[in-house]
Amino acid sequence: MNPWGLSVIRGKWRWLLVAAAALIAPAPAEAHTALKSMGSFWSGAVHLLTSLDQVGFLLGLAILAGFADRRNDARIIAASFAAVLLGASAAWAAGWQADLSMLAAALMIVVGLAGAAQWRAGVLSLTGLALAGGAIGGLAGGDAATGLSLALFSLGAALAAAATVSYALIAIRAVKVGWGPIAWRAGASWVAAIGMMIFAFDCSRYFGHR
Amino acid sequence: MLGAAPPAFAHITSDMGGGVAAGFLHPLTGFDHLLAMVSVGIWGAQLGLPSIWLLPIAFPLIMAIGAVFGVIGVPLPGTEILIALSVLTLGAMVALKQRLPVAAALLVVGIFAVAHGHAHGAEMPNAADALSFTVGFVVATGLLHATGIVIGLLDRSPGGAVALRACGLFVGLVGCYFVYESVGA
Repeated sequence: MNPWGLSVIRGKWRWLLVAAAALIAPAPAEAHTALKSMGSFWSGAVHLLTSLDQVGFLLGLAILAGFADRRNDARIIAASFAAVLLGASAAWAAGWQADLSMLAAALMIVVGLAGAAQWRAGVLSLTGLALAGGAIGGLAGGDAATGLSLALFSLGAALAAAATVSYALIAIRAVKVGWGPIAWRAGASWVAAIGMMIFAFDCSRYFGHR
Repeated sequence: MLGAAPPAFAHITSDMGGGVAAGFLHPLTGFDHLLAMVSVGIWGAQLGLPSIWLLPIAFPLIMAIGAVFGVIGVPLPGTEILIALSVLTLGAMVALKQRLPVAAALLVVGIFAVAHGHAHGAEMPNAADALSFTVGFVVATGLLHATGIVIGLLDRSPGGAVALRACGLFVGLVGCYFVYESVGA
């Protein structure tokens, strides 16, 4: 007996239903003050996972990497991990509170457009994007580590980034036939569209149109 | 799970959950947006390959260009009339099962995507959190396209094809009303 009533829904349809529910469920808003009560490690992890621009970039990167050679995957995951770790540490050490959302949006545009075009990126391009995006994510989140253990905060954020890319790559590699590649390309176009709008919004804020 | 409302954590910088929900509901609560987005998917399915995948991939990107104009405050004259015309035109395309060349179909959809994007983009600065609002409405728009494509697959059966054309006629008539309203306003 399945109390959720999902037993009548088979195979991939069950996962599609769960994914749709996750998309439309109201997400709890979590940031600096609330997160600190979770402890350093989880504060770092959740900080990255609730930064929609970072998550958007990482998913776009995974889609782009999913169209490339599978042998690059480990290097891209490692680059994301290392860049977030070093970025968060550097921001904390320098006491830097930076608003890097414009740069994050620019990277979303790059990975989104490349993924929508199903560009087969080389390992250097992918690693470079992973390093740049990870560093921006780490630098942007470093100030949230104030009052926490830097090592644990950075480790949590870096592991969250690596896990996001890893799970996304697993999903992308698993659905590579039929409608799969089309859905991933559409997803990449969403990432690019969000990046374009946020980039314009940030530009209008910085240059005084709004 | 669909109806679950998790408790919101205290937040000092932004309202992420509220922003996503507001953005997600923006295309869903606007009947003109909803009908146009679903019609894009249905029309793409009627046109078959490559339009069935090209339109949903291109639409968000072109819509984003319109949104950029809305965000930076560049006016787009007649936005409301264009949105109303999009419902009328896309409904007519589905009702007539109009088989335009891919480039022409992309042009038709692109013009209307700019208008819809402009309307969304103009709302962005009013949102509590522009990023989460954007994520919400882009995802909702994409899911409406997907819904349209799934409905459009009915075109493969004779009865389904007739039902789709009837739906297109209904959408077109609603579009006529929207055009009448926007011109009269």
